[in-house]
Amino acid sequence: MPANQKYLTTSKWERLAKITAGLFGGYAISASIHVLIALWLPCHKLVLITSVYSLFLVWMLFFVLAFLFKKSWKTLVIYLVIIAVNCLVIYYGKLYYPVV
Amino acid sequence: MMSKRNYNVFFHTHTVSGIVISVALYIIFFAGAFALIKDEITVWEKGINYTRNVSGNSIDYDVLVEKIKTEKYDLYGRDIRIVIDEVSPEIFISLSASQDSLAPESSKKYEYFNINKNTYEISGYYAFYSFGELLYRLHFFNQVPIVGVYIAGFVAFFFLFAIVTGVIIHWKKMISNFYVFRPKAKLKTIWTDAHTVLGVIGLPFQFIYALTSCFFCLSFLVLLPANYLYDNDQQQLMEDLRPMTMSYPIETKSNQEFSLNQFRDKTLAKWEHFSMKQVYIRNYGATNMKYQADGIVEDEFIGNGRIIYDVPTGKVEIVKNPYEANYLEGVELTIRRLHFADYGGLALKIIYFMLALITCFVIITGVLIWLEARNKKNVPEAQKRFNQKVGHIYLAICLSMYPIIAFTFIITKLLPRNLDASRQSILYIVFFGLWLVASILLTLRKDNYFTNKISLQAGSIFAFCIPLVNGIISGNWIWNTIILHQYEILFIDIFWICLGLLTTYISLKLEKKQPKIVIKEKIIKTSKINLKNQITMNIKISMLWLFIAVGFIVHHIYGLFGVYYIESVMMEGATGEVPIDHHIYRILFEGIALLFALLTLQVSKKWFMMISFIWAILLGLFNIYHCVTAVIYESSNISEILILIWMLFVSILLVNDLWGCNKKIKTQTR
Repeated sequence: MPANQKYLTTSKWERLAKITAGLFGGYAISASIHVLIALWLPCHKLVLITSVYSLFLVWMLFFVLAFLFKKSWKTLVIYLVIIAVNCLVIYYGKLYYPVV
Repeated sequence: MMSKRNYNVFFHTHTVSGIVISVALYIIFFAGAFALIKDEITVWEKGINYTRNVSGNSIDYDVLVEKIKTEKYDLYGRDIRIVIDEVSPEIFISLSASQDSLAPESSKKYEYFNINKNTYEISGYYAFYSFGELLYRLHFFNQVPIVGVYIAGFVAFFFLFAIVTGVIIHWKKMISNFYVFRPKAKLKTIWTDAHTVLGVIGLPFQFIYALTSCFFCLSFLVLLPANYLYDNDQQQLMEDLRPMTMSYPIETKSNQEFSLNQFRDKTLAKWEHFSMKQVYIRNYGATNMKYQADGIVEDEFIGNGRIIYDVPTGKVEIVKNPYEANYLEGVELTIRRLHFADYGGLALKIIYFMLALITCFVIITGVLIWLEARNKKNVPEAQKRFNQKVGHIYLAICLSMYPIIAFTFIITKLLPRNLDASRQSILYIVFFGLWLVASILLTLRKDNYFTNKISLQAGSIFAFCIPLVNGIISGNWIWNTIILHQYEILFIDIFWICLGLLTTYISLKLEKKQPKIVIKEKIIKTSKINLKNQITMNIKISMLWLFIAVGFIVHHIYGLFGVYYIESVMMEGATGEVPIDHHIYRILFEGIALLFALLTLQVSKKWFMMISFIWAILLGLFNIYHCVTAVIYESSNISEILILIWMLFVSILLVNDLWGCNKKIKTQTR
């Protein structure tokens, strides 16, 4: 019954990298996605109030996804790219449609 | 189609996240189940002089405000928050700091307290520390300072993770497995079937709790991006997202006479089924004073309404109709209602309670599957031993919670009301102390079947005692409470009888199906008891106990040294008589240490060593606490800190030696 070892990551560093990516990267992605949607859609209040639950769901989704990559560096790189792109979109969003 | 690899990865993440949070999650759900009925528990505990409450809609706000003004605090410029509860007779009041820049220092502090809605008597929030409150706070680890609630939050987040991965791995066979139950099969199969079936039944419930708890405990993670969007303008953010918390900058002082009750009556005339839950009186005594009533209509699920009046002019400023749901305000209310189960009366709370117990069972079976699955030939011996030990500890902590809670319920009734001031510390010592002792004893017993059986049996006995104790102490026998319509008290009694019956039934049905222990017990050569060794060990332990007693004495003497530097040694509020609890402290600390020092020389029985061991652990924990508080609060008192550190060191040695002794006795008796 325990999961078959041959499919699992054995290296401690690999595992640590994936957990880090899922926990911190996952949160960063989730938070930035919500911010950018709030900026680019006209109804930022509704997006923010939705984020009280959707933030955790999206975060959890990226946490799960982090484990599906075979190589941990791929997870890290992909997550960093997503965060960077989001940050760029947020930057322009804040420039053109600031909330306050 | 899921690949084999993905399936195994999901499986492993489900196992690991589940096992890591299991104990914490069990505690949260078990304590949380009781937290659902915490107000009923408080009423039950107070018991005597219980009269029916006036309705929350007929609170006299003029009397209430007058009472606070004359007895407690100056109100000008403050926001008064009034939280009304239907069950509890106490209204929670909090006062914000005065917005008036010229206000006296005493008005610039946040204050909170209770007011009885029947008598308008003011009492401190902690004047009566209820066991319901303790369990409620335990369910988000509030007893752990600062980080407790975040730990609970991350447990909730990983719970969400475990639920989702669990659903993914069971997805294909969800329906077919639901009907599979093989009670005659081997242990692991039974656990697996139960885990899957009950997990699926409780799924919506568990998902709701995982998600809503994330919000409650980790709301700062939601606020972080929101604050960024608003450039840290929190005032604006709160006004946009939580309109009920909107505050107004203060204008000038007003001398106009006013009555607040007219606004209550106007509000109630507007909506017939409205029941007020929170009332705010903002900018008290100013020209822009506001009366805000927040409440719900029970005939709607998201029926929250709000009305804000300007007090001097009597004009309505803002209305939120409870019959018109709106998403922005509905989200938080929905989360709250789903989490606190306050939308269907006591019947719903009972269903929630049972679902919480089912969840506890799912957690326990999860741990048992984990254990059984690792009890195989190809697993290394050392690993197996470690797993077994973890299993023993987990089950001991989780299962002993039930009898200890039941026992503390009895204690709450036995505590006389004149001990109300120290009620919180007594309840803490009784509940957490006994829980620790029970967990240690059951862990050392190393028998999961025994842990389960004794917990259920002891719990059932205590459960049946609870209504009896209630009747004897408060006279609230079940027939009396029925006649007097004291349904809250009646509910708790009936609740415990039912729970007792349930656990008795389960404990009678328990069959010993011990897993075959694959671990080869090390063959221990029972050598001749080395008498000499034993004696030196006993002398050593006895000396350590003596050191502890001496340490306490030195500590007391240091306390007296203040005399040399003019300081008065008389305590505040001393009456010339030694209070009884000070005698108890002396006996508990020096007395028992000296007793153990003597007895260790004379007795070397197994039970005695066990008792000394437990007492040494408790004393060690106390010494840690004592040392830490001394470092924080009297860091200049070097000599005292040194003696405390020394005592801590002695405590550690003592625990270590007694542990060795207990182990030795065990191997000898085998």
